[in-house]
Amino acid sequence: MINKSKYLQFSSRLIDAMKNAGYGTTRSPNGICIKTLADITNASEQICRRYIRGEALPDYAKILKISSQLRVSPGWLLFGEDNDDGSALKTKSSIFIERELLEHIILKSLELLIIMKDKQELAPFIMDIIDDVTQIDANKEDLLKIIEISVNSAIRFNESSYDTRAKKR
Amino acid sequence: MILELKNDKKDRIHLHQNILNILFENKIYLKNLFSNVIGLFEVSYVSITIINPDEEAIIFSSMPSIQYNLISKGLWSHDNQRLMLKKKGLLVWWDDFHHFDDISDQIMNIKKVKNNLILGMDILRDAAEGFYVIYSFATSNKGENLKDHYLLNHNNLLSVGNYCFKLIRELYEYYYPHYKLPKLGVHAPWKKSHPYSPYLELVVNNSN
Repeated sequence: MINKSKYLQFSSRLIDAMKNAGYGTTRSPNGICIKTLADITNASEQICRRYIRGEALPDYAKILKISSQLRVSPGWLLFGEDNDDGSALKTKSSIFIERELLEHIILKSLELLIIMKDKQELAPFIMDIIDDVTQIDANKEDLLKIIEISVNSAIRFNESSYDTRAKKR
Repeated sequence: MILELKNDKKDRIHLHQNILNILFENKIYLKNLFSNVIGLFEVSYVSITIINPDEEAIIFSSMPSIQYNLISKGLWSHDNQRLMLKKKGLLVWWDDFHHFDDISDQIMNIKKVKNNLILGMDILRDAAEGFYVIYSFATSNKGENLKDHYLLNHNNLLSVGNYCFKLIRELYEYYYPHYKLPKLGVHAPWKKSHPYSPYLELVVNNSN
C-alpha cells in the first residue's frame, strides 16, 4: 500500500527546493511556478500539479532532473535522507572520504603497483575500492577490513591466474 | 580479518556464512568478469545470486557495497523474499517493490539512489536440480523509455545472465565443493510471458 504521507512530505520538500532555487511565484496558490516544473521534468503541467499537491511522485529519472536543476541531492528530495542535507548536490564527480581510510587504501595499494601486471587497471581498481568504502555504512574497523580484503584479492589475482589461485586456496 | 554475518534464523533462504567477505575477496576477478557485460544494453550494474537446494544463497556482484549495506542492515531477506514470490523468468522492476514504507525506502536508497542507478530489475530463474538464480541488472542511463528498452531486451538480459552464470561456475564450486552447478538448458519459459517478444509456434495439423 502506498504511504500517502510520503507523497506530501515529498511535495513539501519539492516546494521548498523550488522556492530556494528561485522558482517561487506569488501568483500560484502553492507559491511555485508549475510551468517551470513541467519544463524541468519534461512532464505535463497536469501531472506536475499532482506532484505539488502530494498526489503523485515522479519516477526516478525525473527526480534526477529536478534535483540536478534545483541543486539538491536526489536522496534528500525523494526520502528526506538525513545524510544528504539537500543543500549540496552529490554527484559521481565528487567523493567524500575520511583521511585515514584514504591513506590506508593508498598504503595497501602500493604493493599492487609493483605486482599488478596491467598497470592500467590500478587506478580504476583503487577508485572502485574508494567507491565501496564511501558507499558502505559500516564502522571504521569493518571498512579497514574491507579495504584489506579487496586489495588482497588483487594481490592473489596478480600472483597467479584465477584457476591456479582457486586450486591453491 | 573476517566480517561476521548474523543470519536471521526465521528466514527460509539464508546467506553463506562468509558472505560479507566473499563479496570483496574476489573483487578484481569479478570486476574483470562483469566488465565483459557491463555496457551491453546500457547495463551499469550486474549481480548474480545463486540459491542452492539447501536454500543457501551466495552473491557475486559488480557493486558489492549494495549487498553489504542490505545484508548488514537486515534488509537483504526483505528484498529477496518478495522476488521469490514472483513468476520465474519475469523481468521484475525494483520499483515494483517500492511502496514508500520505511523498509522499501531504505532498500531503494541503498540500491538506486546511493549508486546513481536510474532503473533496476531482477530476473528469477529456475536453474534446475533445485537451484535458483537471480540475475540483477541496473542502469545509470538517463534516457527515456528505459522500461520499454529492457522489455524488448528481456531475452538478451537473460543471455547476459546465463553467460555470467557460466563464468562464475568455477568460483561457486570453490565455495561449495560438494555442489555441481547445473548446466542451463535452452528451455526459455519466459518467452510467452513477455508482451513484446514475438514468437513462432509450430501448429501440427495432420488430422487428414
